Amino acid sequence: MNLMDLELGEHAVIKDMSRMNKWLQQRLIQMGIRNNSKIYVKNRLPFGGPCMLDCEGQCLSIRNKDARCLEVERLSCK
Amino acid sequence: MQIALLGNPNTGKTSLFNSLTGSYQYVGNWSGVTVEKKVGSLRNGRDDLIDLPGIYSLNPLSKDEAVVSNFLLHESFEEMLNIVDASQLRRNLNLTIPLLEFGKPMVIGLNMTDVAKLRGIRVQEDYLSEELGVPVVPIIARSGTGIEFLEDELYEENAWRKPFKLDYGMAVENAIAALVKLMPKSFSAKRWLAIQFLEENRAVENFIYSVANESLLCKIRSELEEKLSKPPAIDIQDTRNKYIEHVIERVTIREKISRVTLTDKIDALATHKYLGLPIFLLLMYVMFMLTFNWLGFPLSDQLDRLFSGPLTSGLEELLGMIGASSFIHALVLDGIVAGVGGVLVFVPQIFILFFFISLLEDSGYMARVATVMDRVMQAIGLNGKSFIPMIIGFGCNVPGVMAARTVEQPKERLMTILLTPLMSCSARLPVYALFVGAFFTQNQAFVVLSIYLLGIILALLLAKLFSKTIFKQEESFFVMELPPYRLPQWTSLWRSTWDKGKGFVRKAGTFIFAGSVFIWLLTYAGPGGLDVPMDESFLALIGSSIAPLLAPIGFDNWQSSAALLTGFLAKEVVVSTMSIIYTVPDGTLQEVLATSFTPLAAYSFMVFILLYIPCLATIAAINKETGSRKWTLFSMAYALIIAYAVSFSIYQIGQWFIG
Repeated sequence: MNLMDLELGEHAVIKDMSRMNKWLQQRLIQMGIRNNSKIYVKNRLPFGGPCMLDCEGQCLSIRNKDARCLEVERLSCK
Repeated sequence: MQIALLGNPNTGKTSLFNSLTGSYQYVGNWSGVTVEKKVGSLRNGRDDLIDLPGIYSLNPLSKDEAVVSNFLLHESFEEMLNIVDASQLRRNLNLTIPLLEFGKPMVIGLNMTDVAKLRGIRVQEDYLSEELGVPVVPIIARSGTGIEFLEDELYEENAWRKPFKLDYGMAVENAIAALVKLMPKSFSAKRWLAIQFLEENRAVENFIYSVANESLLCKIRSELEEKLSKPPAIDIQDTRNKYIEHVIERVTIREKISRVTLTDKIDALATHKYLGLPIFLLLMYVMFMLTFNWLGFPLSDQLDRLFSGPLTSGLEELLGMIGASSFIHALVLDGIVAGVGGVLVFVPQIFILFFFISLLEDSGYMARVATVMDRVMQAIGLNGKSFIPMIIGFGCNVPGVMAARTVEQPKERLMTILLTPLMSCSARLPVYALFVGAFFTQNQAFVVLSIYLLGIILALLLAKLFSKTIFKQEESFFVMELPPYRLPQWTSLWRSTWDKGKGFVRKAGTFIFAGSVFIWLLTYAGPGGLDVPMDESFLALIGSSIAPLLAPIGFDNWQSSAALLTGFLAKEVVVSTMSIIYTVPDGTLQEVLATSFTPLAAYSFMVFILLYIPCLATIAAINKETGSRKWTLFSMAYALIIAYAVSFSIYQIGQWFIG
């Protein structure tokens, strides 16, 4: 499953970033985001606007098409 | 001693810079790279602190990030001050490690310890210091807590330091050793260069190819890639990640805290599904109303009364007392006071506008605006990030054009640079204020707002047009960090307002002063000699040669042509020129204007002023930022064409309606 499949506020961990745009992947790595980082979606903007996410305490926004390429795994217990 | 200030974005670098340096700072240029650097003297009076852009990594992904790598490669400095955000240790260490590898003495300022505590993170600075081998001083840059201890460490010449060396494993270490051998002996940071080269840092590659054998270097890197069966950059990053996790494990104590922070609460509103955009528009509306109607206009009015009343009569008396000739008399009163005063009157409005822009920047709201606007901007072929330079452009186009550096995708960046001048900057404001005061007294704010909106709408339309025609889009991406909201501090807010606004005041003292004298001379002299009637002056001659061209858009008098010509230097000079041309013994400039323009022509004139050409300083900035004469000329040509077309339509269609 990818980031777009998560409900708002549902916690997950990142499993695979390799399908993302290479540039974006590099930037996320530079920001300390990598496999097994904990992540959840805070907010989705209307009309297909970007989604805001929280990853290990830092908040950032990316576009939906890129969020779709971010493979995650749901954390069963919060 | 030169000390470089380095760190991630949004870690409080500016606050730290402000509290470490006195009021004195200057902006200079680096040799070779034409990017502005900010230097401040430290409070001991001996050493300088160099402010560098905030970066996530030394490996540049956008243009302003290459600045830091180039700085490390080409500039000389003695010490590094690395500011580390305690609440985001993982990503801050990711930058700290390559900086440590560079080998210059470093002091770490561990900032935001208060924010970290709120999130249930405690960083034990003594362990961190032991791990990294450099002094670590906990600080809260915003309140100035711990700054004196940080200063002590900075000035301490024989501070305790342990050389930093991270072992990257046999294969990589062998490659590093081989690369180091290829480099000229004179370099000090060979290991750092080798590692950065393996990481494919473009700035380092450019540098290293000029001093060492490119094919040999690349051969080592590709052989290593084969051996590792993955790019060396990834392997190096993996090793670093392991080390970082180890450090974090050792130095941080985590307490479970889960509560909704204030930032979450504000974000729930500021980036709300439906309310986000209206809230932004409402804030903009309040900002403009305060600048123009509620606060700025009354202040400007007061200042105007001061200039035209006590100041003019005082100067008149003074000139009479010292027995000045009629030439000096006219020069001072009709030239300088009219020209410079006409512009200085707008200082209050401009400072209010800059104050709000600084407020938006400092509070963290700008990042939310970029997120909220991304969908709209994407639709016209731009990026949410392009919105920030445009808002800054409302203050002044020059920093707006420069802020486009943060847009990573080259084509989107170029488009942002070209369209930012359509944002009506504060220097155009005096012109509008003058004309709405003369023609549209009932609806001042509304008419000015319509001009601003026209600029925005044209920018959006042109963005769509450009992205469909000359800028066929490459893949576009957007990632924006949303830092926690911070209540801006008055001192830093005032400082950044003053930083932006002082340019305007300085311009009035130098550029506009000289321009006013020159323009006045052109009105004073003519083919017939000195002290000729205004209509027979050189300026009238120059103006009337262009005037016929401007007749179809509503103003064929030589005065407006002359004012437009001088407005190329700086838009507010238009006001100076008009003040000089239309000096009359009794009555105000606005009353005289009312006889030379119809309201429709006045509106057409304001639109023309908005669009017709970026000012000289903006053109210089565009040239510097695009590095291309072609695009610089394009930015001027398209503006002129659009301006003429729009003013023409407004005037012709308007006339048809009025009948």
